[in-house]
Amino acid sequence: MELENEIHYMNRPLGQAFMSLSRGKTNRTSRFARRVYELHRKMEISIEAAWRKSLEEFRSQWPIQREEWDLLFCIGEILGKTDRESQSSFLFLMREKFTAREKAAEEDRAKKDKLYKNLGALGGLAVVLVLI
Amino acid sequence: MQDKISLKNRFVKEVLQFLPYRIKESLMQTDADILTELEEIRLRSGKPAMLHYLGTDGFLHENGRVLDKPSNMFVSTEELADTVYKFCENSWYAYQEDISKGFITIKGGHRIGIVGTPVFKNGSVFNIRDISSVNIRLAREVPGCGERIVGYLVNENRDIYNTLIVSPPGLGKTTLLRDIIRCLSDGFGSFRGVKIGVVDERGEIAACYKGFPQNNLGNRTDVINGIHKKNGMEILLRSMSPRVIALDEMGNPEDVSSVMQVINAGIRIIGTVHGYDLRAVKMRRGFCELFEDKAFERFIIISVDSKLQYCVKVLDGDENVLDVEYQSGRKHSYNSKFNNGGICVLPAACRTGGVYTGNTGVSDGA
Repeated sequence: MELENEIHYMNRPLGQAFMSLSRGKTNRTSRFARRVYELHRKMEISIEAAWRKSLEEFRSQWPIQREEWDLLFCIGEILGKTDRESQSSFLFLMREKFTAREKAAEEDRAKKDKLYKNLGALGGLAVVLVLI
Repeated sequence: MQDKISLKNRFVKEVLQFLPYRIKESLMQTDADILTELEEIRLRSGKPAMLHYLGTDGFLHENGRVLDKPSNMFVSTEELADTVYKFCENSWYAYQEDISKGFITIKGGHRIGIVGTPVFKNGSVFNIRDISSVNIRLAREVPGCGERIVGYLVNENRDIYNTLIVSPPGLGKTTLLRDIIRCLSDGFGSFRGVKIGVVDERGEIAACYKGFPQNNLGNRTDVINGIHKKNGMEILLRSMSPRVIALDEMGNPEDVSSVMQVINAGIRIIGTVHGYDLRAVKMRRGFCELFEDKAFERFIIISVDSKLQYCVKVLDGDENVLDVEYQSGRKHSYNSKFNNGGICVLPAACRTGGVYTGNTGVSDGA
């Protein structure tokens, strides 16, 4: 959302956008943004390469599924390569996909919660029955 | 010497890092004397890289030498696209409006001209694909170049004359304008300095990067950049109450009519326009009205003769000559001597006491 704002509203080039996103914040996203900026500036690699490398570095810290990683890598491939409108549309689409993934994960968790609760109750009952 | 080193470092930092690796490596070996005098780097698809310096040109060889015949340093279409993408800071969207105009301005005020196949949207150029040529035009400040002239632009140490700088492309109009702005802003002699608003449509005057002007325009100067002159002047008038508005490359009739409105509002104007002389400028649409109304009270005409002798002429509103200054601005350096009609400029490693000691085969494009 903030990146979309930096691109669409502020019209900042990606390097500056990532720097701006990382400034004065300490959350995970801003740490990631700072890392992309640092790799891009200090190692003089493209934004796409810096994005990819940062994702690899953050992989162990973010508990997300493979499909979501694929989406994140996909963002790096498109960032900066189209006009402003298309960048916004693309980021909006990606956000929609992540929202759908989040919803699916929530539903999955709720389903599993219920399953484990039932399993727990049935397991307890079984133990009681065995003990009797 | 220090100036040359800092100029070369600036060139490396601002331009060289974006160029294709082969060209970058080659230019790193090129004589600092050439790099500091470099005016343009031209990259054309399928053609060798070319350098323009000291009023002449030459082809870049992979060992850093500059030849008078085409070298083997060919540039591919992919390299051109990649170079422009890097100049755009990996963000096409941030430069899309500039690209549609055919050029972008990068940090340091250097202008990157781009041609290829235009892509149209709603009848106007939206993008340029299949980039076929890139012209990297290097900007540099020449502090002090306007100091002699600026005295003629001030009226009794209180006011400024509306001034038009006329010059063909590439002779230093913007450089002169920049220094005039600096002098008028900071003041000189008994002139105290005035508030100046600069409309830097192409980002060449102030060369703002992240809001910070890279060039010194003085302490009383406010810059609005990346905006059409008409809109820029309106915003400056509303928000900054400048005494003088400076703008580069007037030409659009719409800009010219806005200039008239600004002058009528009591604001002084200092502008530049492409042209070889006043007669040619007067015939342009929009300008004839300005001349009829005697809007300009001073003219500065820059010209150059075949010996690269620069002439800067100052005229009053009635076209009477007030001053003429001759400058040998772009002299050929000692190391640009031809070796039997061969090489024009050589790397320092190949010279001893300013004389080329290598073989003559290089001049044949080796």
